Amino acid sequence: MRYGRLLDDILRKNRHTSGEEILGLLDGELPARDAERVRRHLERCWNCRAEAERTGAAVTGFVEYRKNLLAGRERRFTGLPGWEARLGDEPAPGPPMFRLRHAALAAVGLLAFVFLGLRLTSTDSVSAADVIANARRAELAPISNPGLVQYRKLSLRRRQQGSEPVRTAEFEIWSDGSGRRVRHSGEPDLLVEIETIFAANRRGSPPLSAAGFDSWRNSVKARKETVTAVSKGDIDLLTVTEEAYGVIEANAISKAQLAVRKRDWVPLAENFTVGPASRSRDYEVEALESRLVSRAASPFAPPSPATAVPPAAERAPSIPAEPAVSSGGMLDEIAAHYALHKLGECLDGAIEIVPSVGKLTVKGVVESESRLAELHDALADVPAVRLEVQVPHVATDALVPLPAQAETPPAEGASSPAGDRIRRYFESTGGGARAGEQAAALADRAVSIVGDIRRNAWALRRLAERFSSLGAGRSAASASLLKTMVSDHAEALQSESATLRDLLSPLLDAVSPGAAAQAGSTPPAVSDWAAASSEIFESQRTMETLVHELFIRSSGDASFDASAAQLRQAIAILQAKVQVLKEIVP
Amino acid sequence: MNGWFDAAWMAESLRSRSARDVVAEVYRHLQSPVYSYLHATVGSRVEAEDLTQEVFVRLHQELQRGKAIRNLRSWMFSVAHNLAMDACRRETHRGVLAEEDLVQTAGQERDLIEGERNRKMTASLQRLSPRERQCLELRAEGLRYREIADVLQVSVASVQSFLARAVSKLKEEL
Repeated sequence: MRYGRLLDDILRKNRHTSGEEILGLLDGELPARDAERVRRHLERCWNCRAEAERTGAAVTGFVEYRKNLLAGRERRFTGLPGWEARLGDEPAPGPPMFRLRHAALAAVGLLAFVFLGLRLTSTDSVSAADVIANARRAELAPISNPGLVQYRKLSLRRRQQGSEPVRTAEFEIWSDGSGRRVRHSGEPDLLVEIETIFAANRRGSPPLSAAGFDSWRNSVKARKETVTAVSKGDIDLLTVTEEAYGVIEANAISKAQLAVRKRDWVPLAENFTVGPASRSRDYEVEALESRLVSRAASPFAPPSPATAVPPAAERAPSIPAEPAVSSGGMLDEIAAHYALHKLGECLDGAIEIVPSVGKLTVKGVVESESRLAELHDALADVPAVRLEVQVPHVATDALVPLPAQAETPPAEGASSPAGDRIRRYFESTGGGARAGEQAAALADRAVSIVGDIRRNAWALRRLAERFSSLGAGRSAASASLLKTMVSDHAEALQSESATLRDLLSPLLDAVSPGAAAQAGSTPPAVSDWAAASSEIFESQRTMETLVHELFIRSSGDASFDASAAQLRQAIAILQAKVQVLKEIVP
Repeated sequence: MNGWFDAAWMAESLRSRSARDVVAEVYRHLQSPVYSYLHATVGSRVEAEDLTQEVFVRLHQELQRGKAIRNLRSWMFSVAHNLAMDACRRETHRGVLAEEDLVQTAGQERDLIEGERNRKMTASLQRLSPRERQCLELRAEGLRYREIADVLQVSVASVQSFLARAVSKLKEEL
């Protein structure tokens, strides 16, 4: 019986693939096991690979043929004017004259609506896109005096929800021409929670950021947006409200509002609702203070801004002088990615490279002219690059704080079961009165490292999605650049995950001693770097969720212990997967 | 796009908006694909426009009756397909599928399909069975095999087979 099965297996592995299987693979319709088998067969069988290429060519031919046909039709088909007249009270489709009558009535109604609409909105109307674009420019306005930096202080508040108390935190943000420094204080649980929410909603910036708001807005497929003008005291505000439709997951922002001061487009307040309606949480962010301060008195003073460039960039070789394969070719694109990689711009996704026929467009926003100059220099050796990077030119002056609102102060000493448990751990290790501070510092550091891991995992995945093959079909120079980028991210992930493990091990060992013995992990069976990167990304997400579970959500000791055990395992799995990637890309 | 018009989107949309507004939004996104499929199937521009209207009117009626639609995209193409088949049956010279009309359509578009490759493609398409052509058109509109099976009321395995045969015929002419 066993031999029979073995024989079946051998025959199955060696037989040629059918047309259905090849098409199923190209369409992503084969079950995973079959897809893997067909893929492996195609790797070793030239006949079947040629057949797969002919299938792809036939599909491409049909699609192009159809596109030409449809383009011809669409020139004549410009929608169906008056089709809405058939909706509403009409219970069933009627004869042609009936349809025409309704179509005429609808056309009259539409004209009236358009006319009224224009009258209502013609005075001082502004779109959400305009408000956000202006706010983005305002918040990135350069500071002419190099001895000064912009300082902003924000308050963050999570509204009371059922038995969950109000939670608060504060952010202090210093911005100069080359970067930003953020310091936060308040309840660590809330900080971790916000970090997780922003990560889940593609918001890389601190709260009350027009860029972050815009980034989330662009990531929402179906949404409704409105702009309303309101006044608070003597300040005129424009408020952009965005509501997302569709399935709202636990950490997804379902509704957000950004209030911008009309006079200078500076964002002053932001509200957002997270999660589905049945379990939603509301957050409010407000600008408390904004002024120019001396650079010497800011966090920019001790470390030089030059340290903003990641160490990996210093190790990396320069872009080779080899001529591009072709204008807009893959070497150009990889070289452009590499230039951004050297500047550390690959980590937050604020700049993107859009390839098109004959050129590469680098799009995004940078904070200053000096950063733009760095970008220019870095991309100077890459041919056919067009830079569409914006630098704001809106003048900034001192902000007027919003009028104080009557708020209920947060409960003194409010904390979560998780916070208590971590504090107890530090008390048991001799922390004494400083146990609370130590617990907060641990959470802060863990969140920071998890954020670094996420940025590297995202950067890796973006590369994997764009360049699924490292070497095949590439020039040596192109493959070398790609491998350098992948290796840099793999090194960073290895180092950061080891730091996280070392940071959390004492706590995890203490609360879940059994977990240490189970922390072994089986590396995933993948052989290509894109699959390995995808695995790393999934593990990073699991690990981040567990950090969230550990520091925020755990409702008691049992839940805390379970999260601790799983987190230890998740870190080990991530490390194993990074090792797999390093072996694939030595 | 596929994941967008799912049951949750529909339920959420109907909670906050009228059925008419929901249909208007669906219309903005699906009018062109639905029209394209109908045009390819019935072959007449005027009839395809009429039937496209009909599909959206039926959607509105369905929503007003409070009917739940699990997969809107499949539902829209199912209605479009059934309307197209009815239209073909009404006009007997068309046969069950307007295969002749597809050829005729290609002829009408002759100015756009110049060149050897397009001539070969036109010849290949004439050799497809109605089901094969329908599967090809629906797949080109982005429907998954399961969705195509729902629209045509056949099994997923049949869809896989129709598509493979269709592509095989296209390959022969390449």
